Formats: sequence, structure tokens, C-alpha cells
Amino acid sequence: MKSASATDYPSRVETHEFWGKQTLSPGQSIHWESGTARIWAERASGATHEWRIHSERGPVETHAARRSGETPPPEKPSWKRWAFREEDSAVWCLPVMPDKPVVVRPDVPLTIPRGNEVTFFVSIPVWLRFSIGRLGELAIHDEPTVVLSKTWAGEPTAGELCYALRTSGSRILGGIKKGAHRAVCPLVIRNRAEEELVFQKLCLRTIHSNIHLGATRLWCEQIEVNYLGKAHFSEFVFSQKPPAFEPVRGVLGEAREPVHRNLLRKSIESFWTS
Amino acid sequence: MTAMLTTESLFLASLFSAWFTPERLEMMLRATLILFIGFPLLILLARWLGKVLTKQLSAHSGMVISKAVFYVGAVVLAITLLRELGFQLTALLGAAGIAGVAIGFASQTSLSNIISGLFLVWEKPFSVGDAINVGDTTGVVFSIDLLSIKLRTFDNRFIRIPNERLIKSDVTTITRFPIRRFDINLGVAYKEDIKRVIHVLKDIADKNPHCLDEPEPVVIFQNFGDSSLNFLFGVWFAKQDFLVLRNSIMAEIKERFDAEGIEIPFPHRTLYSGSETAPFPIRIVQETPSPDASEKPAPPEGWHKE
Repeated sequence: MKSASATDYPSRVETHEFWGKQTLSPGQSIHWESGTARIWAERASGATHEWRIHSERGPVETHAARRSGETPPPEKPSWKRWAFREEDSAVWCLPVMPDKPVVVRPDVPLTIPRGNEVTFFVSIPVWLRFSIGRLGELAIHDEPTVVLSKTWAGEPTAGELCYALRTSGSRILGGIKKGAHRAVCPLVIRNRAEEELVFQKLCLRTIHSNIHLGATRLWCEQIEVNYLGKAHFSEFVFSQKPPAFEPVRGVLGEAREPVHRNLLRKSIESFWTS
Repeated sequence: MTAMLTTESLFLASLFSAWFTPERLEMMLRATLILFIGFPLLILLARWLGKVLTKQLSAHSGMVISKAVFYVGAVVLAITLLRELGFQLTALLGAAGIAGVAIGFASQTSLSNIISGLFLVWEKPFSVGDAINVGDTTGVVFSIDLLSIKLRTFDNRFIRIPNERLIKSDVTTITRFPIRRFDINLGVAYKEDIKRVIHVLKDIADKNPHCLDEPEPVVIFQNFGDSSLNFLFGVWFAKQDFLVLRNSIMAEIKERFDAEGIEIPFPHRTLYSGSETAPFPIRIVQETPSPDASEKPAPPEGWHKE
């Protein structure tokens, strides 16, 4: 996959009411609220060239994201501090997909007859990536908007640590959980095997996905899974284009790991069925 | 005087030329080459082999094979060197054979450890960095050597365990697999609803982000204990999350049980005065306020100040 700033992508979105660059003067702080995350960033006063970030968790998941320069940090913040050689007045807050694959399930197990395909929409809570630099090139802190539970994909002796999505994938766009901190990932599953596919769960490597700013939501590129049978590898195709379900303004967050070719994964039974 | 010196010089020169023949000089050159090029080359070869095998196989295999290559190579070089220097190896090897038998008897344990080490390489039950348990000892494998392995315990002690002991005893590799189950034995009071307890425990696991959703946590009603209903609560976790999970889940069980009013029974101690039926004598003393605050109340009747 090409870089998000490549020419076939819309230009990177830099200004937004929540996302993007914020310029602070020394001693000033700024606050973000998204999901259950509450984060403050402060540019230290004096000649220390230092940035500080404090994060804490709220009791409930808020569906609207909020950025404010008026909310002061708590009385005793546990700052994480970063010192720089040169002064930098801007901090960036951009979305990035979770740092591990996510396991997604439909509401109830779904049987896909041979030769058929279905589309799911999966709503995934993004992480907030804070970075410093003129173009936000130096990432200093990642914070999940919602702390997802961990799960294991594979056998107890070998497999992959993933996050479990508690909300199920939906066949219709209107059926998924909304939230300013959630990115929608369109997922197409094609059954090209000679047998039925009972779809119960699937491990999605969204670390290869960019995040696009759509008209109403955040979007990931479409992922297509070609199921070729229990004994064969399944092919994961990561789309190179922005999703076509609504107009997009551009790329907000770049993929953690670019993918250079389609992935082949063994569709071991536990990935598809319980 | 001059004549004497000349004679002595001539004698020494003739002796030198008699001993340092071209053949002997060539032999010495070969011996020097073996000593100063052969041994450094062998050391480099063993190191390179150790690095390559560590990457390709494991740290354990790399270390043992590189040391074996070094020792065998050193023996071959030493024999070659002695031959070059004109030693009669037949007699030397005969003497070495006798010495070998004697040394063999004396170093049975060491040889046993070396052979056990080779078995460990072949079997590969753990590698450097794994947490293992041998008998009463638990620690992280620090190094694996020809005769023994070295552990660093969690309280930062250094423990050496001979390879022979590892072969003979049960070894548990705690960090072999990427996920593990943490089992907690719990007892609740007899008055509690078993279904509700199971539901609450599953909910605790569900809300803890370090408990894996899959494999699912297990709650097993084990038995009717002496003073409690006993449960086994097992939650799966990624091996690197052990400490954080252990601390958080224990605290969450206590907090949640307190909030839900689920009683965790514990042994009670009853005091009695010596008679089976008579109650423990209690005297209630009514304290009357003294007009003078500094004046202490009189001790109850029967008390004596010593």
C-alpha cells in the first residue's frame, strides 16, 4: 500500500474541529475527550523545550469528541514528559488504528453458501496519536479512545493476540455503533470454496489500514477476504482506494504498517468458526 | 684471550648451525603458524558459529555447539602442534589414555552434566529468557552452559543448576506458550446463590481488559467445603500480562463481592471460659463522669494495681 500522502489519495486533512494541529504558547495546555479517553497536552513554560501529556479514563464512552483549550488539567496530573532540542509550538492529534488485529463477529453465526459474498460494516474504536513537529512527523504518544478487551486467535500453543470487538459487525451501514472516535471498516467476504462458510468470527489486521475523514464518519479502506476452503489459505485484499460509501475529505491517519501485497492467511478453523 | 673468544664463538656457531637446520626451522615455522594463526582462527570460527547457530536455532544450541567445536578443534590443533615439534604421540596418547581413564573416573559428574547438556540441546525444553520452575526454584533462564544452567530468580538471586539435575527432575517452562490460565480458588458463604456467584465472576472477567475473551474464562463449582461453597475461577491471559492481571483481578473480585454483598467466609475463633455450656462471663461497667476531668475512673471491682 502506498503512503497516505501519495498522489492517488486526497490530501491529508490538517484542520478539523477535533483532529489535526494545535499551536500552543509556553505554559498553555489543551484537552481532548474521545471515547473514554481524557487527555491533556501542555507545552512547558521556560526554555526547556518540553511537552507533557496526561491521560485518564472517563466512566462512560462518549460518542462526541471534544477539544478544548479551557479545560485545565487535574490538580495532580501524572505527566509523561518529552524534551526536545529545538522549540516546537504545535502538537498534532490524529487517529490511528489499534496496535493489534481486531476480532470481529456477526450478531449470530452466518452461513455463506458457496459462490456468494456478503458485506459487513465493522465499527472499530481508533487510537489517538499525538505527535510533534511541523508536519507531526514525530509520534510521542498513542492512547486508545476505548480500552478493548484482549482475545486470542488460534490455538493455546500458537496464535495471535488480538483485541475483541464487543459490538458485532452489521450488514447495513445504519446498524453499526456510531461515534466520533470510531472508524468504519467495510468488509467483504467471498466464499470461493466448494463448501459452505459458517462465519462466526474473523481476525482483521487493521494495522494496515489508513483512516479517512468522511462526511459523517471516519473510514478505513475496504478489506476483502476470499475464502477458498478449510484446507487452503484465505486471501486478504486491502483496497488501495478510499471507501466509496460516502464522500471523503482526505486521509486523517496513516496505517501503522503499510501493506505491500495481499496477505495470505491460513483460514484455520478457529478464525472462522468457534 | 682473543683466540679463546674466537674458539667459543665458533663452537656456538657450529652448535647453532647444527641444531637450526633448514628442516628444523621449517618445523618451527609451521608450529608458530599453528599456534598464532590456528588458535585465533579457531576462536573466531567458534564465535561465528555460535552467533549463526544462535540466530538459526537457539542460544542454547549455539553456545553448546560452538564450545564443542572449540574444544575439539583445540585438541586437534594441540596434537598437530606436538607432532610438528617432534613429540612421539604414540607414547603420549598411551599416557593420555591412562590419564583419560583416571580423569574420567574423577570427573564422572562433569561428564554426566556435559552429556545431559547435549540432551537438553536436542530436546530444547526451554531457552534463554524463559521462566522455569525446577523443584522449589523458579526463575528466568539467564544462561545455558555446557555443565549447568544459570537462573535469575524474581528476587534477583543467581542460581546454578547442573544439567544432570535438569534431566532427572521435572522442569516446568512457565513461559513456553503465549497464553496461560490463572486459577483462583474461591469460597463463598453457604447462603449465596450459586448461579449469581457464577454470573458475577464471569462479569468480572468480562470487564477486565487483561482477561482474554477467548479462550473463555472458566468458573467451576468444585465442592461443598467445610465452611464455604468452593469455586475454581480460571481466566486466560497473555503471558506478559501476568502481574497486572493477577493484581487487578484479585482486587476486582474483592470489590465486586463487597458491592454485591457476597460473603467470603473465613475461619472464626470462638473463645470459651473452660466450661462447655457456660457463657463467657462479661461484666458491663457503667462509667460515671467525674467532676474532675483529670481524675481517672476507678478500676472495676476485683482489679488490683500492681
